Amino acid sequence: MSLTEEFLVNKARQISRELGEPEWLREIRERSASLFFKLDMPEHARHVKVDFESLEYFSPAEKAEKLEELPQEVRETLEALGIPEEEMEMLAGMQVQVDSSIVYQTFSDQLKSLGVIAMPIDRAIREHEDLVRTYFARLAGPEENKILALHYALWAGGTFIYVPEGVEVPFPISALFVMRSLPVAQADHTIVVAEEGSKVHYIEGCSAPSYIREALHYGVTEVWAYPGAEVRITTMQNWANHVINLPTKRGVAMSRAKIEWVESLMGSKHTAVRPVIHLRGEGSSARNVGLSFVKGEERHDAGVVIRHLAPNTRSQVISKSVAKDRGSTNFYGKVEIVKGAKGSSGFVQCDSLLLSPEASSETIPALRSDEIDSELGHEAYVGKVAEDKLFYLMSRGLSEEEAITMIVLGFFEPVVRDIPFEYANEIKKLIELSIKGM
Amino acid sequence: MLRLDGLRVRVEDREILKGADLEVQRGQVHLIIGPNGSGKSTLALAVAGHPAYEVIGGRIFFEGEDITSSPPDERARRGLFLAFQNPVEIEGLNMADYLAKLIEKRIGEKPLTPLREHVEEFVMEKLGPYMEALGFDEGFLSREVNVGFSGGEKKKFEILQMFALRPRLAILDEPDSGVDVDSLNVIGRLLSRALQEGITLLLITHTGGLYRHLRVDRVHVMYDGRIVASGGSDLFERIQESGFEVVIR
Repeated sequence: MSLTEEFLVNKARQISRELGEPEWLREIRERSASLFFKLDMPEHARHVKVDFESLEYFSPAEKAEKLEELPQEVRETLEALGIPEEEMEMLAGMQVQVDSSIVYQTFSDQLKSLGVIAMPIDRAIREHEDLVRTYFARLAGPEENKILALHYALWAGGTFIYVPEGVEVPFPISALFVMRSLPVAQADHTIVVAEEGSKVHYIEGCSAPSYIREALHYGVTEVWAYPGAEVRITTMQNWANHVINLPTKRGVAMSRAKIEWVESLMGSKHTAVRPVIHLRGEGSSARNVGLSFVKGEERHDAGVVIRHLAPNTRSQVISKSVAKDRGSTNFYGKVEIVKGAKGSSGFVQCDSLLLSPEASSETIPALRSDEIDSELGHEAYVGKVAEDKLFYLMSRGLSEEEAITMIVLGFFEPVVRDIPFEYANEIKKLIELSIKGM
Repeated sequence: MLRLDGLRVRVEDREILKGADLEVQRGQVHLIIGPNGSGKSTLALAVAGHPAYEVIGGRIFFEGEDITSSPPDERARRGLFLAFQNPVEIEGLNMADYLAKLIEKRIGEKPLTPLREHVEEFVMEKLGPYMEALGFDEGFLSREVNVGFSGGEKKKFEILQMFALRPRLAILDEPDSGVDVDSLNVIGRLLSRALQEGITLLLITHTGGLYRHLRVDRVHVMYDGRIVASGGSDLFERIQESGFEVVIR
């Protein structure tokens, strides 16, 4: 297949028509489809090889109507995540967005009574078009790079969350995306808007069972935290080793707002991700926690960019990564404090653990402050090869898989400890699943 | 129960064991003594299957089976246990979770739920008396495996793991080094108990500190990668009096 501009524009149009989208969305898609051919890869992903020509973008979605039609691996993922069978039934027809057990019961009633909107984004476009339009593509636009252009041309699925002023959502809102057979489904778009003084925890799980051949995930997440709002996002991703993962994540925090981003990333052939958080308002803060695990030939080029744009802002970046076999994990932590952002501070901490002599890990800090009255810190620690730990546990009769699971979970423990029990448990299960896939 | 036939082991291009022969019978207590660097720990780690200890000659038999090339977890499942001279710290691994897993491996039972209180309850139920005998209180279970343990705590924790796993043969690599007199007495008592409970013991020591606590059946002297002498208590007494020179020549 030859990927021409005409072809892509037509496909963008077709998707828009099939989804019954309003005109402004169709226009963005068409414009983005053209931009794709003019733009370069994002800077942090220049070295990632994506064969756009051979990707099968547009095969029609094969929908599973019943639970039994879902492939075994998808069901196992859902089971491991603790989602009961009756709820899986709900998901079978979707692409898939899942509300986890706790949310599901309360989703419609309690959230509605609080005035919270939390739904698949395509439904939000139908029911709350103006609101979606206000926030859609504001923090990441199609003109930035090739991947974003492709995203805005072909995106489908994702979540829209809107929390009104002063509302504290008493339980986490969760969604699960299981990437099925079509790469077109892997450009999910999620928007979280927390109005003044509100509080929300959004948890999303993404999983690509191993039957997918070659796939590209290029989702976008846009997060808005208005004055005094607290937004916490926990992302659990578990990718098969032929998925190329190039997500875009952006967040902005107004005065006194807090954004906390916890991301657990397992697998994928190659991940290149560089979330950007802007601390725009005085006294705002960001905490970015990344857990990553690679094996085989997998490679993660993770990182984060935090910009302190106002006085008395705080940021904390923690990265913990484990590499097995010939896996490689790299972390680029960029924290900038602009002139005038007095009394601000940023701290980056990176730990990595190598499970084999061929595994590798690198940390690249890029700290820069143009403001004298500010503080920046960095700490990196590459753990030595954990061969002795592995032998110690195996000499107790634990299999290699069990031993690695224990070592990895232990290494992540200081971070997972902060996460509510049932979600920490989900992360643990995902890690176990990922190690099992070795 | 355990038989080494001319075992030769290389570590990082250096041959450390140069043809060690040894036989340990069921229900007995054997002692390996020898000067530092004679290959005692290498013997222990090679028998347990450490991947960095390459067997370049000879065989290891356990319960009649050739385990020379078995992975370490398989050896453990056959009933072989090694109490490490230098136990390894596993950061973030909770003691109760770890012990519960070892117990689960042996008897197939699990705690009610993965909740901390249930796991601790489960471990106390199975190992409570041993923990008490070793001087570990319940707070011990909320720590991380070997992290921040004193020398004595580490040695005693190895003994506790032995009771969690109930092996057929326990090889104890210097369980008496770096521990105070009280801990030594406790370890001695618990090893006698292990013997009563049917665990065969192979003790490696260069101080001989535990000798008085146990009825030792046979003493082996290791020197330069080989067992150069084996005998009864008279051999031990002779070495205590005159040093290793009496048997090395």
